[in-house]
Amino acid sequence: MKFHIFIFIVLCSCSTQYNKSSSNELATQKSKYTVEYTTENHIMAWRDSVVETIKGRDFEVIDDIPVYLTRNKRNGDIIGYNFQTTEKVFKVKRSNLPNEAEYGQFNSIYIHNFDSIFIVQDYMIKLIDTSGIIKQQLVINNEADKLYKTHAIGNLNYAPIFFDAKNNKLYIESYCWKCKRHKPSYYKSKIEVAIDLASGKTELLPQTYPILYQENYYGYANHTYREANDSLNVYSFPVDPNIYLYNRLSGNYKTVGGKSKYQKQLANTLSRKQKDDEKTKIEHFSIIPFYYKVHYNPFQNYYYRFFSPGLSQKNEEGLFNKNSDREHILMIFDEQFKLIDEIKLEEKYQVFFTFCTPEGLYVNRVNEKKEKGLYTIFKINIQ
Amino acid sequence: MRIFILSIILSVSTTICDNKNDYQEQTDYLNKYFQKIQYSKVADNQLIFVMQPNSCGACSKESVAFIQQVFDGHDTPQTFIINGNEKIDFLQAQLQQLPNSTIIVDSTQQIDRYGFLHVDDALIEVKDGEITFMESIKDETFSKLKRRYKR
Repeated sequence: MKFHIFIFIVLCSCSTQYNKSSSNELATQKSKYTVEYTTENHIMAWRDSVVETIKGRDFEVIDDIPVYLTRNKRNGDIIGYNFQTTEKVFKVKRSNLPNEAEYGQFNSIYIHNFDSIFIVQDYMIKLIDTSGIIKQQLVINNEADKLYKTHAIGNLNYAPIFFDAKNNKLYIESYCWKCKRHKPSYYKSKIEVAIDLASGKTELLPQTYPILYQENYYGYANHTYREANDSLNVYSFPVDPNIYLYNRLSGNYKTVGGKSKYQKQLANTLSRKQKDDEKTKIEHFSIIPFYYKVHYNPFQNYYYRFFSPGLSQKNEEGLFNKNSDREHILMIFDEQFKLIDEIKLEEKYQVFFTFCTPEGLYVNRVNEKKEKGLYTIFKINIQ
Repeated sequence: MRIFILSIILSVSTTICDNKNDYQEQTDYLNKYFQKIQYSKVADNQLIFVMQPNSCGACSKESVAFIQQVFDGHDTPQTFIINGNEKIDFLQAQLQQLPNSTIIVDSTQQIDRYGFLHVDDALIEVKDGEITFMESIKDETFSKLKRRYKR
């Protein structure tokens, strides 16, 4: 018997590159509402040099002005344009921003109003106004900090800083900087902190990566997405259909289902031994079923996210599929996170670039010429 | 008898597992790629560098400096495939200084379709018409590549 088991193990040990993961997914609740929509093409009219948007916070309503936030790619200035008139609303010159050589690179910005701009760098959070005057500053990621022994603070990409004026706290992503990213310990660490601006105290929130990530390895598909609105911090992850909610007012946590009907299979897992195999990791990233960040539309009080179904490794011609071959599904949830509808997009989009205005939901469209500034506005009517 | 079966199973599984140096499929795809882009100057022995100017993870300046340092004196023909549409002027200006170099600009990133999807710049070594070695070009592999190619 032992002999047979040994043979079985030998034969199985190298025959699979990917493994199927198990899932703790919750059922997706269906909303009573319905969606109708129209689309309209839009071209951004900003100057060519202003192309680098600030991830996660492209559009803000500040003092009742719809402001489109950009960062000038060439000189590093932060610029806010009135989205309707295209006039410049404010500009914070690079020379007025905190020094990158001293405090490290920018990784997040939040504009609460024109007098309160929070800027996060590697070693400092600064509160400045549009003229660059520093109003408050907090040292972060300092070796003397108890927190830094286990967790670093900073937006790795899709969890930008957020300020809640009601409790005077800043919310920002955290991660175990000593943990290797293929090890379960990285995924068991806390992913967000709250910083009390009055006391300067930092509190680790209980949210971690979901069990799916703690038990399996997904290579590059390990983003932490966090959206925030008046009361909720909304966490989501690329291979997990579930959506994780933290109510800042009540302190309660809740998990809801958010699976797309277009998801036909679970994401394959990688072996932790493939941690350095970048070719396999990028191929895996390009073809697995993939959920994008949950966004909140404050103008119509709904949540949305994009989903991309999995692709086969090769197409009908025997050539390799790539990320740009992906189809995208727009999922719309009501304020209770019940799924209203799913819209299969017909054109190619870069769905990481999306935001809402009173006009509708903007998504960055891609054409064959790779022209910049192309957006489709989805004008969504929920009934 | 058991030992005999076991030895057969082990040798078969070793053959299946030992795909580290088996680049036959990649060689076939590389040839298909060159046919597709109608590149006729394919040498039996060459070093192919796939540069990733669009990839945020790739640090072109560092890897270009490394390539210049290590491969400047090589006789082996060097083909640089610029896989993207950014930093083309910079890369062309730097890489054409190397002797024996040919530059291909693949602005629509066709090579990805042929199984050479990389985040970092990558080196493909071809000997007698077959791929014999592939490696990413980045900080972690600099010393390994230097040992293999530095003269």
